[in-house]
Parts: sequence; structure tokens; C-alpha cells
Amino acid sequence: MKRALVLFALALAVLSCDDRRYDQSISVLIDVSGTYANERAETVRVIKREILPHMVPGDTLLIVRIDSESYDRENLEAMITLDNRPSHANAQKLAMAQTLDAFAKKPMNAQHTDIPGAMMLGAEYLNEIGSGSRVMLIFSDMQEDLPPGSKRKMKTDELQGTHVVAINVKRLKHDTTDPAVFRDRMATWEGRVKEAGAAEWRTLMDASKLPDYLASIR
Amino acid sequence: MSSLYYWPEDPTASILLLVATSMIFLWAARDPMLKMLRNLGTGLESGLLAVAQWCKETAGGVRDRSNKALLAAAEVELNDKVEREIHKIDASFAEKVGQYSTIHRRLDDLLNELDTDFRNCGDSPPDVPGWAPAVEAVANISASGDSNVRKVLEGIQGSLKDAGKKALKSYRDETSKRHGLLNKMRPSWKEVRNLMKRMQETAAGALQITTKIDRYVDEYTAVIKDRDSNAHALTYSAFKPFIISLLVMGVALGGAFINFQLIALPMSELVPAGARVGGLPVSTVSALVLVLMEAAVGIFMMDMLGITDLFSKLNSLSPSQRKVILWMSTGSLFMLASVESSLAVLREQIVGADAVLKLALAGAASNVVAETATSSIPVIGQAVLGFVLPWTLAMVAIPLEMFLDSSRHVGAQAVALLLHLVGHVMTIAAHLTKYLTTALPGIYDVYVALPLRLERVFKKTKSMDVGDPEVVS
Repeated sequence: MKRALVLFALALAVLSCDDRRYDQSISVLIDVSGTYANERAETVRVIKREILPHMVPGDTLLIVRIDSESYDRENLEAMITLDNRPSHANAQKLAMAQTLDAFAKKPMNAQHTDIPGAMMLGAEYLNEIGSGSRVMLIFSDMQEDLPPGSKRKMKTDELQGTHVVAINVKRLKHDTTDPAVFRDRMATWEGRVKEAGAAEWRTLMDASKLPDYLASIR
Repeated sequence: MSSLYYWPEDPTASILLLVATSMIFLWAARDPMLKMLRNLGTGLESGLLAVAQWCKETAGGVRDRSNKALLAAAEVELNDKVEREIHKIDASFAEKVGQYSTIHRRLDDLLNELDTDFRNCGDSPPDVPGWAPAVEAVANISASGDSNVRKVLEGIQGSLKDAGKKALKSYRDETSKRHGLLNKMRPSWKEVRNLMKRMQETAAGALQITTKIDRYVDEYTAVIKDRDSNAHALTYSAFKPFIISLLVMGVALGGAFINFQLIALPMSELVPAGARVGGLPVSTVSALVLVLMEAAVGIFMMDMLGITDLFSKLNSLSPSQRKVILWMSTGSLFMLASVESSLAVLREQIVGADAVLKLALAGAASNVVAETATSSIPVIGQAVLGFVLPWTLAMVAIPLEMFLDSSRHVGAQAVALLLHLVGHVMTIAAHLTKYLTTALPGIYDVYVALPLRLERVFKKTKSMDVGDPEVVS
């Protein structure tokens, strides 16, 4: 009996010494430039329907705007870390939904598309939060268009342990003319993201698969 | 395989070469190889037989130990039963004897009353005085015309009639008194009859208990006398509680699962929902712990009620201490049931809030949900379920004890059976090895038949040349 008690106490001690974090932080990058500017309402709808309801207490969501100069703290549109009590977390989700609605209605259309800048900003926040699972969701056409003079070079560990997902990537006119152009662009992004130390790069066409995917990498 | 080919481009020739080479090699090593095969077979056979023997002996040992444990358990159980019955008899007899003396005293009083009443009933009214016939004779004398005499006679006649009437009245009064007394006796008789009946029941109860004790003592004696057959019978009887307890525990596990599901979600409001222990959310672990606590408290309660005996150390506690633990466990269970009931109500609210949130995020108006969630039946149902389930779960102590008691014996029997089976398989394997050992040299000789035949032919020719009569023959 004593031996069993000691074993039980030992097992409990081992379990409670588990340092692993189980929370998830999701950085959503929304393109507001060029052809993707009209997609904001749909992007907000996807976030509200496929991401927010499935977040659990402790999870963090940050929204970063992709515009001409994305590596700017002003580009962080919203950020929440859900409270430990589900009822409070629900209230936070509702508040976030309202913020997103306001963001969707705001008139904005950037001249250039600084995707790496937004990625770097998002990565910095993700690294600071230090969640167990880090995800970067990019809603964009993935066509980089930096303003003259801008330099964007990601460090080799910039996206360390981060799962980078490009969702609802809009096909441009020359993409539909020659799909190889689009595929090459995606391959280039995959290379850049992997070089920056990302855990994974993938593209998702169907946003309804997002909840399952996020749960699988938690 | 192809790496072994001498000519990879010609597999047939390569295989033939391999076969031929191996044949020659095996022919050359025939004698030591046959010796080795025989030794290997013998060793393997004896090894397998030894294992089979060990398995059978161990199975016998396990079965013996199990039987002894069964008998000991049966003896203890019968001892307990007899002891319990003796305690019952002691208490019952003390009560009945106490009742008996009271009944007896009451019966005596009643009988005395009845005796007095009966005697009173027997008293007859006083007789009419002896001179009455004389007066009657005088009164009946006919009046002879003398008016004075007639008046006297009429006076006497009137007095006589008055006296008769008085006597009749007195008689009637006495009779009515006696009837009154007899009426008074009726309830007393009834009471006497009831008391007699109670006395009879008391005696019958005592006789019944004595019969029970007789039976237990007979069983006990039988267990002591006929150990082997009883052990066999007890083994079979151990299977029944094992199966029943397993079934009931399965049902209880289902109940515990429902219980757990009922409180797992609302627990996230009480404990940090994001934290985890060993990969499991703290809320889930807390709900699990709550359910297990209910079961543990239930076990204590059942032990203190004397229904189970899982903590034998608690038996040595005084009745007052046992009562304290009983009250504590009952109180704890009540508290846990209340908490669970409130959590069940909270769960309904959380589910409702989640539905509203999802609809709100999807862009629907919140009043859509408000309309559909007006019924309070699910809330009441969940609250009642949350309160009742812990009490039901508390009773798991009974099948748990049955399971622990019976699984020891059933497990031992299963191990013994398995060992027996392994023993038999080993014996069969030993026999097979023996036959293989006999057959293998023959098979070996078939493989090397060609060089063997050549050797014999060569030996024969050589001996014919030398003139060896043995080889020639």
C-alpha cells in the first residue's frame, strides 16, 4: 500500500513537472493592398467563423495589416489573449468580432504589398508570447511589392517553430493565364519561409479545414 | 539469394552448384551432424518436458493456494455470519425475554381480574325469606264475609305481591350487574388472546434464528470436514460474484462517465481552463478527481455502515468514532452532490452562451437562440442527475468489494488453467521433437543419398578388390 502511494505521488509529481505549453497563438496577416483589398470582409468572416469560436482560454490572436510598410507597430490591428474563464473569454471573442467588423468597414487600399514586413512583425509578437503552438495565417495574393528603398531580410530563426499557412490566395491575372507562374511564386515563398526556420509551410484553399488543422498542430 | 549465385546470369546452374556443394559438405560431415541432431533433439525434448512439468506443478501450486485462500475466506465468511447471527440472537433474545416478562406480568394481572370478575358473576341474589310460603297460604285463604278478616287478608296479599315484585327487581338488577361484568371481561379475554399470540411469535422467531445458526454451523462443519470438494464448489461460486460485480462495475463506470461529462465543461469556469497536467486540461483532471472523490467517499460511507469491509483497519474503531466518520462521509457526499448539481446547471448556461456566441460570430441575431432555449426541463434534469449520480456512484463500493474478493480466486484459477495449457502444449512439443529427432537422420540421408550411394558403391568395389567378406555379403 505504501509503495503504491509513493508511486502515485511520484507519477503526480512527474505529471505536474510538465513544462510544455499547450496554448496557441495565431497571427493573422491581412493584405489590404491592390487586388486583395476587396477581400477584407470575407477574410473577417473566415476569422469569425473558423478561428475565433475554436480558440480556447489562454490562446492568443493577433491581426496584422499588410500594406506598404507592414513592419510598423501601427499595423497591429488587434490582439487578444483569452482569459482563463470561458465566460470571460467569450466576452473577449465578441469584442474581437466587433473590432474585426470595424476593421472590415474601414476604407483602406495600400499602394504596395510588404508581406515579409508583416511576417517579421507577426513573428516578433509570436516569439514574445512564446506559446506552445505558433501559427501564421496569411490572407493575401502573395504577390510581394515592396516600396522603393525597403529592405526585408528574415533571419534564419525568424519563424522558428512557426506553422505558416497561406489561405484563400487570390490568383492574379497572369496566374490564371499561366498557372506555373502562381506555382513558382508559391514555391519561392515556401523556400523563403523554410529558410527563416518555419516548422511548416502550406496553402489552404478551403477555409473550413482551418479548425481541424489548428487543432492538429496544437 | 541472388548474391549467392556463382553465375548470376544463370540461376539454374548456380542453384545446382549450390545444392551439389552443400550435398558434398553435408555428406562429409554426416556423422557429427547426425550426432548433433540426435543430441539437439534429446536436449530439446527433455527441456520441453521439464518446462511442461514445471508448468503443471506451478499450476497445481497456484490452484492449491487459491483453494486454501478460498476455504479460509469461506471460513471467515461463515464465522462472520455465525457471529452476526449470534449477535442478532443476543439482541433479539434480550428484547424478547424483556418483552416476555412484561407480557407475563400483564397476563397474570388480567387473569386475576378475570378470576375476580368471574367469581363476582357467580354470586346469586339473596333467596326470598322462608316465611313467604306461609304468608302466601294465609293470603290465599278465602274471605268468610268478615270485613275485618278480608281487609287483613287483602293487606297480606298486597304485601306479598309487593315483596315478589321487589325480589324480581333485585334479581333483575343482579343479573344486569353480572352481564356488565361479563361485558367487562370481553376485552380482557381479547388481550389475553393477543398476548398469547405474541408469546407464540416470540418463541417462533427464536426457533427460526436457532434453525439459521444450525444451518451455518452445519456449513461450517462441512467446510472443515470436506475441504477439497468444498474448495471446488467455492471456486464455482466465486465466478458468479465475479461476473455480477464486473457487470455492475461496468454499469457504474458508465454512470461515472456521464457524471464526468456533466461536470467537465463547467469545471473550466472554476479552475484555470488553459492550464494542463500531463497534456490533459486541468478542468478535465479536476472533474475526474471530483468523480473519484465521490467514489472514495462512498466507499468510506459503505464501510462505516458495515455494508462493506474494504478498510479492515477501520473495524477496530469504536462505534462513536465510526459514527463520526459516517457523518463526515455522508456530509461530504452531500456537499459534492450539491456542487455537482450546481455545476450541471452551470453547464447548461455555458452551452447556451457558447451557442449564442457562435451564432453572433456567424452574424445571426442573438434572439434566435433566446427563442429556442426557453424550456427549463433540461436544466432541471441535469441538476437532478448531478445530485443523484454521486449517491449512486457511492454504491460502487459494494460491487468493488465483491470484485476484489472474487477476482483473486478467479485470477488464480485462470493462471492455473493457462499454466496447465502451456504444460500440455510443451508436452506435445516434446513429443513432436522426439519424432522429429527420429525422422531427421532419415531426411538428412535422403538429401545426401547420392554421395552416400557413391560411397557405398566405392566401398563395395574396394572390398571386392581386397576381398572383405563382410562388405561383399
